[in-house]
Amino acid sequence: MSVIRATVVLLVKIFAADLWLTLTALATVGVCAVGLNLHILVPGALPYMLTGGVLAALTIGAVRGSKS
Amino acid sequence: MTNINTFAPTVGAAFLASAVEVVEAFTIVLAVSVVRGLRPALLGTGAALVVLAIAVVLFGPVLAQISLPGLRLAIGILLLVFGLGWLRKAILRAGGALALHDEAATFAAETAALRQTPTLTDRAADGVAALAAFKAVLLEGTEVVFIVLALGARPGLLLPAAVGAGAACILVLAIGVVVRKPLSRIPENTLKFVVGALLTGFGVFWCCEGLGAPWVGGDLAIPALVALFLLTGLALSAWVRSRRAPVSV
Repeated sequence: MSVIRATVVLLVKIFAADLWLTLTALATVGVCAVGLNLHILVPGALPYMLTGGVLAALTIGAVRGSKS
Repeated sequence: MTNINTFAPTVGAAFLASAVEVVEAFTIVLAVSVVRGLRPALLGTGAALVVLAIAVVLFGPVLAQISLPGLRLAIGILLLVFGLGWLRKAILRAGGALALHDEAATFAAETAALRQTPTLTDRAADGVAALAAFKAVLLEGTEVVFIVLALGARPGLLLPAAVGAGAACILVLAIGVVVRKPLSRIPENTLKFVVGALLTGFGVFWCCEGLGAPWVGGDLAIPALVALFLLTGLALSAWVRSRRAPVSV
């Protein structure tokens, strides 16, 4: 039982250790996918948009973590 | 197509990520073998490896059923979430905002916990010790399995990823057997920093590929992305350190 609990805790820890960071990363990918499908975003711009979004998420995650 | 631009980071990421996890699992297995002997340590470790092998056999073919763009996007998101988590934690540890992982302290705590079973019979105490080894190897191994399956999801990369992970296991265990002490001198946070940058770089690359967007320079974008995340991480850790440094009056 303790092994199962520890495994569940590990999986939660992997994806929700910083829930905000995980959600921001997912939202960045989601926004890029929607923008591409709606032709608001050209495919050539996607790598730059996604990289920029992920860098922003990482920066905000580090800033938030440094305050806690 | 698999070339050196994807092959080398894949092997490197699998090797370094596995080395970090094996160091952590080794500390607990060593504590078990010191307190209760080699038998429960090997029993727990062996049982966990069997469970992990079953997980790979069960989940490996599931990945093969997903369409290639969908698979790339799913794996990209998985690596992105994994990598960002590792990188953020490594930044905060390097900047002094989080305590560094201390293998010697973990070993001391685990050894003390295993010795606090005076009311148990020898057999029951061996069972508790084997369970501790099982749990440690299973938990650390789960992360290794995730990373190897994710890195190896691209055609032709599963074998290099598995070889990288296997080499790390053998190397760390060989060092551990020779020194017979917790491997606290291995720079875990530096390894986590590099692995975080590698996984995040792969994650961004595969998310774009999964969404059908081309990269300028093709696979060459992977080392460029890894370098970008590494440099950003270093800059952020320096910033965190400067914020926490005492101000002299």
